[in-house]
Amino acid sequence: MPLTDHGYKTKNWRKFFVERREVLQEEKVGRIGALCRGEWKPEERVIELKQTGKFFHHMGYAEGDHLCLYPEEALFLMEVCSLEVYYAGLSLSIQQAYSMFLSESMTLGEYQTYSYLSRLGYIVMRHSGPSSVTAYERQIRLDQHISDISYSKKRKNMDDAGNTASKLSKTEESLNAQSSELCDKIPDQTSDATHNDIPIASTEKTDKLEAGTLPKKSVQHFLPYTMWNFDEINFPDIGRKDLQTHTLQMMPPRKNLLPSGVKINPNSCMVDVHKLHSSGENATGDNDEDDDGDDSHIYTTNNLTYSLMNASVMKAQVKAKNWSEYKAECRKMVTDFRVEQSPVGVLWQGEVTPLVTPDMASCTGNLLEHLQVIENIHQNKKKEKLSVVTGSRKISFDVFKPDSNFKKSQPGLPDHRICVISSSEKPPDLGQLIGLQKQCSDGVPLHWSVVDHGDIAFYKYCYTSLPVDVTMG
Amino acid sequence: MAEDKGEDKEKVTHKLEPDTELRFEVEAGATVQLELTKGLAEVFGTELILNKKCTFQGGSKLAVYTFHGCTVTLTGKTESAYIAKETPMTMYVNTHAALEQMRQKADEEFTRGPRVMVVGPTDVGKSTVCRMLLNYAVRMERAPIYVDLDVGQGNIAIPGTIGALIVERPASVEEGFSEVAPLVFHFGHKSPGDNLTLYDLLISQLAEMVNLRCESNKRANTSGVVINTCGWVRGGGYHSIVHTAGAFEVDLVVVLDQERLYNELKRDLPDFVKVILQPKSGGVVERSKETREESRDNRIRQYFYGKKNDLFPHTFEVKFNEVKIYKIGAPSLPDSCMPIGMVVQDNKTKLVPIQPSQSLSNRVLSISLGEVGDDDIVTTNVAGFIVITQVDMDRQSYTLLSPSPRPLPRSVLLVSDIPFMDIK
Repeated sequence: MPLTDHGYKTKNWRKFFVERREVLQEEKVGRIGALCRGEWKPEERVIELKQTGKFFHHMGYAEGDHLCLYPEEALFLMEVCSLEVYYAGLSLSIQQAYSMFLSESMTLGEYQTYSYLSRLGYIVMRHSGPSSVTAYERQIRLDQHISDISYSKKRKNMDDAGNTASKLSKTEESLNAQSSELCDKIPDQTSDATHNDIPIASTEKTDKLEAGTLPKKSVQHFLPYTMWNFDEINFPDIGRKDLQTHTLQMMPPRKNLLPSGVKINPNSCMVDVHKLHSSGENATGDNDEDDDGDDSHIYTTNNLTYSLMNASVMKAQVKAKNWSEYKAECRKMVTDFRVEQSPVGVLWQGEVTPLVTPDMASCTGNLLEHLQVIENIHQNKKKEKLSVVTGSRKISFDVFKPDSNFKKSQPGLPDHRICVISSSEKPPDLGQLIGLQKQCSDGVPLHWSVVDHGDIAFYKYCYTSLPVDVTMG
Repeated sequence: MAEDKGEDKEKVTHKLEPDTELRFEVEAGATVQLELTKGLAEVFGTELILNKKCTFQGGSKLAVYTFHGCTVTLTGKTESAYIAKETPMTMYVNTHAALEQMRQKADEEFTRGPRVMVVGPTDVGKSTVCRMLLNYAVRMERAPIYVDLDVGQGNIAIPGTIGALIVERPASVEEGFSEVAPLVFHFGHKSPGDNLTLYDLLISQLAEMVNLRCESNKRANTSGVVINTCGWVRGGGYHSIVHTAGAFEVDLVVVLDQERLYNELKRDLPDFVKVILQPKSGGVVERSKETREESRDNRIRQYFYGKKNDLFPHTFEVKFNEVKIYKIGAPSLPDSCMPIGMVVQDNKTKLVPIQPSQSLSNRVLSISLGEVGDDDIVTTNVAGFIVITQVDMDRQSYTLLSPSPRPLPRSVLLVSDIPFMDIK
C-alpha cells in the first residue's frame, strides 16, 4: 500500500535523524600512547599542555614554562584523537569543546576552514601580520639569519587582541576593533613605513563610515602663504609717485627688529628724494655689460612652467591674492584664450561645455584618460592616490605547504593567506580589497574561504585588464 | 689723522663719527690690514671684532660703517681711503627691520617667510645689499636662504653657475659666506643671454629645490629667501627677472637705482608683490670689463687655492673613457632647419656629448651628480668643479686640477665657456 507524501517524508526524516545519531555516537579509536593531555584555561582562552606530542612541530607555542595551544588547534587535535582536554578535572567531549573553544575571535567558519586545510596536510597558523622581512632581505637571504626573538611575544599579543574583539558586538564596533587590533600589532613589529599608514587610515575611515565623507588628499609642495599687509609694514621706497620732489620720512624701527649694535639715528630718517633721483639714474644708465649689446634674441616662453606670458595683459585682468592663485588664473586665462581662438570655440558658449579642451589633444591616451569619469584601479598602481579604504577585514590564517623543515620560530613567508567569509555575508567591496592589498603586498596570494554550512570553497580575486582596440600613442 | 711711518707699511688711523662710513680700495698686488681699535663697526653687516686684524688682498673694495662711532687702523697701500657722511644705510636698515617684522608674522602664523629679490643694473651694489640683509637676518638668529643667480660673478661657487645656500652664520669679513654644501647648478656661460632658455629652466628647478628645503626646514621657511640677480635688466633680462619673481613667488622686489625698471616691474608684477626703489650707495665703484674678467678669474682661483692661498688642489690624470663630457645647448639654428615638430628652444637645453680634443684644455668643468643615461642631467646639481689643464691625445688622457684627490666622484662632466689658466 503506497504511503501518503506526508508519511513518506516523515519516515525519511526519522531515518536521517537516527543515522545522524549513530554517526555522532560512533566511538573513535586511538592509541592511548598518542593521546596527550591538556588543560583548558577560559580566562586566556588557551589550552595548557601537560605533555607534548608530534603535533607541537607546527602547532602551539611556549608561554613562560608552559606549552600552550590555540583553541582551534586543540579542537582539531581532539577531533583526530591526539589530545584530551580537561576542565575542572573532567575530560571535555567534542560537543563541549565546540561550544567552549569557539568564540568571536575564532568563529565556526574559521574553524571549519582550519580543520579542512589541516586535514589536507597544510600547516595553518594564525595570521601574524605583514612580513617584517622585506623582499630585498629575502633576496639576499638575510631572513635565514634573523632570529625572531619577539616571535612568541607576537603570538601572545595576537591572542590578547582576539580577546578584546570578542567582547564587542558584531557591528561597526567589531570593525573598529579589528582596525585597532591592527594598530596594536603593527607598532610592535618592525615593518616598513608603508604598512603603518593603513591602520591609521582604517580607523579614520571607520569613524567616517557613517558620515560618508572622504578625507582630502594633501597637496605636495604647498607652503602656506602669509598675507602681508604692506600698509603696516613700512618699506622705504623712493620711487613712490607722491614723493617725487619731497622728502621721505622713515619711521625708526622698533628695537626688537634690529640686531644688537645697530641703531638708527632719528636724524637720518629724513631723506631728500629729489637729490637722490637726480644724481642716481643717469650715471649708470644702461651699462649692460653682460648683455653684450645684443637684444635681438628671439625668445618665446611656450615651454616653461612658470612663465608669465605678456605679463601686463595678464595683470590687468587677473585678480588674485597670492602667487598660486595668480598662476592658476593665468593658466586658466591662457587655456580659455586658446579655446576661444580655436575653430571649436563656439562649443563653449552655451551652458553645457565639452569635457575636454583642444589643448588636451596631445595623444589619444591622454584624451581617453580625461574622458574617463570612473577611474580604473590597477593592481600595482601607486596607492597614495586612492583614499578609498572603507574598513578592513581580518585575515585569519597564514598557510604553509607541508614541510618537514618547517620551523615555528622562523616560518618564513606564508604560501597563502586566508580570509574567511560566510556565504550569507556580502562579498567584500573595492575599498576593503584595496585595504587588504596594502596590508599584504608581498606577493603572497590571498584566498577567500567561503563557508556555507560546512561546505568550503576557495576563491581568489584577480586583476585583469581588458584589451583595448585603440592606439594610445 | 695721525700717520706713523713704521717699518715698510704705512699705518693710518681713522676716527669715525657715528653714522659714517670709511671706504677704501686695496691697490692691486698689495695687501691691507684693518684693525678696529675702539668702538663698534661693521663691514657690510658683519661686526668687526675689537683688536682683531683682518687682511685684504689686492683689488678688494670695502666700506666700514659705524652706528656709534669708532676708530680703525689701516696698514698697507690703499688706493683711496675716505670717510663718507651720506649713506643710504638707514634705508637698508629700515628694509631689514620691515623684513624682520614680516618674519615675526610668519613665525606666529606658521606660514612662509618673506622672499626678497634684489634687482638693478650692473655695479649698483646688489651683492652687497644682499649680503647686508642676510647678515642682519643671521644676527637676529634667523637662517635665511641665499639664492645667487648672478652667473657673471658667482658669489656661491664659481662664475657660470647659479646656486642656493642656507646662511646660518654672518659672512666672514675677509672671506664672505662660508659655503658648506651649497646647491649649485651648472649654467656654463658668463652671461644669461648666451642661453636664456637654460637660464630660466635652471631658475625654475632651483626654485623647486628651495621650496622643498623650506618644507622640511621650518626655520629656513620662516626666515625667507634673499635672491641676488644678474645685472641684465633689458629685454630678455627683464623677462628673466619677471620669470624669477614668479618661480620663487617673491613678496618684495628691491630695485636699486633704476627708476625705469622700477616702473616696469610695478606695472607687470601682480599687486600682492611689493616693489620698492632704493638708491645705490655712493661707495659703489664701477668696474671696467677688464676688472670683471680679472675678478672672475680670481673667483675660480679662489675655489681651487683658497682665499688666502691656503688650499692645495690635486693634479692627476684621467683616461678619456673614464669620463663623459657634455655641453648643454646645441648651436642655434633657424626654425626652417628643424625637423617637423621640434622647436629651437628644445635644442638649447639639449645635452650634447663632446669628443675629446685640444679645445678642452684650460676649461672649467662641473662634475654633475647625475649618472650617464639619466634624462635630467641638465637639471641635476653639481658636486664640484675641475679644470682640464692638459689633453694628451696619444695617451688618451686628461690632466686635471681637482680640489680632492682621485678618483672623481662621478663620471659625467659638463663643460663651461669660462676658461682658466692655472698659472701661479
